[in-house]
Amino acid sequence: MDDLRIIELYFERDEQAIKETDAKYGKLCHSIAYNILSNHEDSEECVNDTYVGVWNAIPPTRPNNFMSFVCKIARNLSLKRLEFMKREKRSADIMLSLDELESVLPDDRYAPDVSDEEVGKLISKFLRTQKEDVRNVFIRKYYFFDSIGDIAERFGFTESKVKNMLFYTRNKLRDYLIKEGVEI
Amino acid sequence: MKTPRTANAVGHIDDDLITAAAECKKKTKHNPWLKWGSIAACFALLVIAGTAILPSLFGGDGGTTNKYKDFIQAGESAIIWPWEYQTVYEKYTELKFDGIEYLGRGREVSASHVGEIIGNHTVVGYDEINSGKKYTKEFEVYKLKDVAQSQFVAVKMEGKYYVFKNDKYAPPSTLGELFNLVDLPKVIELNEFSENGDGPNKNHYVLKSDDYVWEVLAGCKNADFVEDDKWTVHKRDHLSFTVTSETLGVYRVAMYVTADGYLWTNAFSYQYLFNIGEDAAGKIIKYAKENSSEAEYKPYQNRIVGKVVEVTDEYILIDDTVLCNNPSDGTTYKVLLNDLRISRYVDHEIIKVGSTVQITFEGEIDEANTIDSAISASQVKISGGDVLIPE
Repeated sequence: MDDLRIIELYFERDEQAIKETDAKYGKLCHSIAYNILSNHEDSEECVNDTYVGVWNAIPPTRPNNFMSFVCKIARNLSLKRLEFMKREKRSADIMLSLDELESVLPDDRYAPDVSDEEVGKLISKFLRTQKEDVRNVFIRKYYFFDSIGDIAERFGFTESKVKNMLFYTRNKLRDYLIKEGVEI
Repeated sequence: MKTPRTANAVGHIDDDLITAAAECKKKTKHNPWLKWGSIAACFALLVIAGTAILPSLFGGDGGTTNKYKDFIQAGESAIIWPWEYQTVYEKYTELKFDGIEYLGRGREVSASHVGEIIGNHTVVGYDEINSGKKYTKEFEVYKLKDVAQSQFVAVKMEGKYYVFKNDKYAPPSTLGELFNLVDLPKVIELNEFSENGDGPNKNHYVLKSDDYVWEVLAGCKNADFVEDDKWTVHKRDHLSFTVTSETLGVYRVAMYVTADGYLWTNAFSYQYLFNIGEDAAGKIIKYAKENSSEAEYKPYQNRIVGKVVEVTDEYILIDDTVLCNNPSDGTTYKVLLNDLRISRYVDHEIIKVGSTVQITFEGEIDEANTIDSAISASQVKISGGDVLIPE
């Protein structure tokens, strides 16, 4: 079903909206949650919570990009759940991804007067200056938290190439943020 | 554990960027030695599943059958070379004109396949070791015969022509549409195939003529393109044709015809899958089986493995005794360093006296055991009877 029609169903408070969202974006949400949590049960709960989040947000919100809107909620909820998971339940993959991101901009002690949303805008601006492959590899890794192997397969690169690209992109992003006045 | 700020900030990336990354399609590898990885990330040993017995990698020379021990052969070497050590077609890979972005396929095409000149255009390259520093250079761009200019062009670099392909994922909606863009019977010759897989332990055949196969496929012009990233050929009865095409810039990629009615190929960078129906597929499979003769397995690339015993400016000597059941069966190969693709391994000391290496080459080994077409090398370790190649 067309995204606009699904959004209309939310506005009509028709529960079919959730079924349609699940049919269209359930797999994507589950893959984001699973990449972060590495556990089907937790991921399933996060996906269900995502639908509740979408149901509560629409109306009044009328998202311009429904897919991205749903993904963001799934990603936020999964990251929040990860914070509460015991260390031994976390996968090495996600911990490594988060460590890598920490090296770019660690925590709220840095650039306290700039909001996460503003940093997000700067990251978007930076990514737009990068080659399409570089941009997509970065987003697949740090937004969707795909594994290096999955990214390599998707783009037809070797795993070394993917790691190398990510390494350079993180360094360039860090330099860019400093240049833009984000104190790191 | 607190989520790092960058992870939260990444969650606020613009919607259109997220959508583009979510929807970017799977590409299929077709030319492993051209895929670059990091030299810095080298030397973690990789064991690749599955076995291949070395003699078969030599092209199945019956005389060598008992010479070598059995080995597990492991994967692909991946190196990013410094800019000055890259060949021109590795350096310059992105071409944009008339609103189309073409990517170099890293393969040369003979002048006989090249059509009229389109004009001079700028080709872009990036030095990945140097923070992606951008280089640009103007080259002559030509049409290629038998394919639409919107899909493939040739770029003349240092006197040779190289294939560039439109990189946008915009698959034809039917097989007929693909026939309109590419004169498939002219640019692809289907003469080798194997049954239910293409490894060394499968049955391999040579087809007498591919005319009938193309005739059947030409009759499937309404066959729909199937969008299914999860489609796989495993567990389907199928024939696997080997596709080499100078015009398309592909070497020994695959085209499957499955008994349940699918045509699959990776010759166009992305997975192209058409539903041709069981009837057409059945006709092709039956014809191929009845009009072919058995053939030897041919590896993707020829390889030798051995210890480097001498390195000069012009050649290296490699002794493969370490692989032999009987040391007196050892052979010394002379590998000429007549091409940047191989000489750069010596300059970077990946090939040096005393190291054990695998050399891949495109042509033949002559009677004097000389190889003049080496294209890549990897340091390998021989451990417990396996040849292990560091990633």
